[in-house]
Amino acid sequence: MKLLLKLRSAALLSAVTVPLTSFGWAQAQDGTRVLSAAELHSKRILIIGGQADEDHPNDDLLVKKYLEDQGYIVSVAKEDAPAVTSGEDLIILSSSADPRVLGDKYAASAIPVFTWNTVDYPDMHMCGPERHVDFETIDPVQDYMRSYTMLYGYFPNVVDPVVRELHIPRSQIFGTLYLEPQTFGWAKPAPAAELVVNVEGEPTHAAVFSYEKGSTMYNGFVAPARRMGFYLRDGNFHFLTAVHGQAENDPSLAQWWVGLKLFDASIRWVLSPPAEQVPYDPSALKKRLAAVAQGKKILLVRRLDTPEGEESDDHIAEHLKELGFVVKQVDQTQPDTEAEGEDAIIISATNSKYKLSNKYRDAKIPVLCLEGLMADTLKMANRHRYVDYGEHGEPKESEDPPEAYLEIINSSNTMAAGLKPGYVKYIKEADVLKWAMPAPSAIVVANLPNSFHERAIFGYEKGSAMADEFVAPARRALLPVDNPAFDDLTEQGHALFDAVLLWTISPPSN
Amino acid sequence: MIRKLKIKIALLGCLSPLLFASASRGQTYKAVGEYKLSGSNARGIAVDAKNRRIYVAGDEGVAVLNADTGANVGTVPFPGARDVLLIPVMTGEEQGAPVKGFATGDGSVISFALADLKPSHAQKLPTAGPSSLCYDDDSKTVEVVSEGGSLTTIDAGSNEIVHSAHLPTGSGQIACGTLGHVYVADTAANVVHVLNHETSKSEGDYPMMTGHKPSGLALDTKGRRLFVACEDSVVEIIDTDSGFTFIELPGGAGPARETFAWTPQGKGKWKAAAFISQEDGTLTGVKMNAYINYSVGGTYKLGPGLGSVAYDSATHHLFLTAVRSGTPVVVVASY
Repeated sequence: MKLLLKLRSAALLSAVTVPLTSFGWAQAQDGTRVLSAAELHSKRILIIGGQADEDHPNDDLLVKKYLEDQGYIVSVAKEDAPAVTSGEDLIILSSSADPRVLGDKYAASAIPVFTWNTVDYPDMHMCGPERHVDFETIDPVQDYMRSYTMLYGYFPNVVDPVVRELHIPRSQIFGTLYLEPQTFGWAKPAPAAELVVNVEGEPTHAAVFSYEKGSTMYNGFVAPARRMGFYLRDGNFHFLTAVHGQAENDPSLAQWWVGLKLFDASIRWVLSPPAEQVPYDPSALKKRLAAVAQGKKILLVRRLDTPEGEESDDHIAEHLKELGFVVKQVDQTQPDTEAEGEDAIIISATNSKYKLSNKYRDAKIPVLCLEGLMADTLKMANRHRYVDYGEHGEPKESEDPPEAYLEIINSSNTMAAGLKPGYVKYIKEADVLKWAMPAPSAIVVANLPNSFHERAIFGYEKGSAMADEFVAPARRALLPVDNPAFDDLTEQGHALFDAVLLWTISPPSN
Repeated sequence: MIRKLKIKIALLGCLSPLLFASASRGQTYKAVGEYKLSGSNARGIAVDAKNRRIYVAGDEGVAVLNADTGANVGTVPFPGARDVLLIPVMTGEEQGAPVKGFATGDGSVISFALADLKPSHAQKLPTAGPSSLCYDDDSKTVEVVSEGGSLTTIDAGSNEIVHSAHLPTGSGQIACGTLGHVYVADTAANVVHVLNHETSKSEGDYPMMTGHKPSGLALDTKGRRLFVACEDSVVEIIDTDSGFTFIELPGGAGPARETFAWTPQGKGKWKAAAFISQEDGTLTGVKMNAYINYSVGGTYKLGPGLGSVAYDSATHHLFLTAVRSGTPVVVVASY
């Protein structure tokens, strides 16, 4: 016991304190800033754990001591204790707690929750309910080979706030736990989740994932505070990778053994302030967009003299000019050098994918695409038509009926225009709506209703890995505005147009 | 309620996998002999298994004894000797008889011929204070680490100093033999320093996971495992490629010294082991089960005051320096 209480050495705490005011509006708004351990000193953490015994050892007290060494005030409670509703800044749910006893006790908690109780994820609304489908726990005895594959995690999104803390330069594999067959947990979170680490080469097998406060979790449950799932199990906290000595001097090795740093950053992210919830106010949003738009040059790529959608494109151009943009309109067949000197690009749905080719894919300025079928040419999704991208309501091209609604799943993001989670009427009459299934690094804001994997509004942060590991040269966003649809947008639809455009042209958070 | 619960969890939480595997039943090492030495202390020790001699550094020099009887064979005249090292000789795949040794004192190092025990090439180290020796078989160099804060590299063939540098060191044991690294247990700083004798630079430190006061070191140069014995009864096993402690085991208490040996009980028994002798009289055998799996093969009480330990590949005996009632001795341990 004496030994256990000594525990592993603490990482050096960052003493650098940066005042929030020194960060731009967009960063504070998006909740992408992760506070340092020094800034979070004396935050209160409650670990809910189970009883350790000879047959069920656990590392809960190691975790406690480790966090205390970093300046947190940590206490522990058992799984059957009454739910704590105040006085704590973070609840940790250890896998040592019996998930059946724990149940949904903390699902609605307004306190942020960090959990590695994989089997409790469904009760926390962090994933679906079915073991081996929605989540899984890997055990060296039953899953010997897979317990080795779990030693390798993958960062699909290096611009995720947590991953940024690790200074990982590109999407890459890393060592999760020390080189022994390990116990492990993963889950398939809802689309609004940020996927920090995935495993087994399966983009949706999330080993570490997070939900922003206000985002939509599984089954439409709205996150009352930040949530984060982590791959640990009962007794392997002490196997989280770390590097010391000569290996620290080799960037490849220092970026490989980052399990413990990932744990630290994840804890700090959950404890950091969430994204501000900006209320839905179309006129205020328009003013904000106009303030940013003044003098900015936008290239509107469209099919000039098109038989369908001409008026809609004209109205888009007028709207942009009204906001203060300097708008240059070019035909789809003109070379993409037309974008030189511009600040952003909007690609209209009047363009023919076949004629536009791969143009503007490499543009180093932000791109807002209004045509979901171009998701693959722009590297916003993979290439399997009707699987990786598709449409609702187009006769002969879709078995899905026309649609008028979107489902907002990430209301905390700027792109959501402050709309609350749930259905929002997007176009006045049900019509064609396009969708795509982006890479895990995308920020997903809206789905098509009843279509879990059909993402209607999403964006890629600059530097994030898009399809085929294509690194986003600047922000990229998709918003489905079919040929004539701009004129059919509802008030909320117009607000979403403005909000997505505002996010797209705003400075990247990284 | 919560308070009561905290206490309960605290009690039960100690059953972590970090807790040591209980000592498995195995060979029981015990003292089978004791050789008396002159002088007032015994420090470093080395074994010449081929010529059946043991070399013990002490205040009167390096005492040379018959390994089988303890009879005095002679002395390398080097008063105040702290450590002693024999340069291994390979005859093809077989270990040959060494012909040369090195010894350190306070701020100096000598080489000596095993045939006549005459010292030669006395050289001053850059810093004063006790110093320790290890041999890097890859570079064929002798590494001398001074507690005063220096690393000196000597060509084992020519006896010439190749280079030396002022670097952070410590009072604990040293080990070397992989990729130019010299590991130094810094008991006071609670780390193991990683020095590079090829670049004469410090490459960083290995922190202790839970142990305190690292003192003894042994290195498995093939598996690149570093066995660190701490004075507070913790043995940490570090993967030197990452600096990560992946196993902790229980050991004895007090200042420690170690040695590492392959098949220390002959074929068919332990694959390899690190033997740790500690001042409280505990000899701990850390047994290799696999490169990622080690356990305590046994802990054996040999009497207090143990110092350095060396392995005799011919008899599978262990020789341990000790001081009994003020008299330095060599304890012979066998299973």
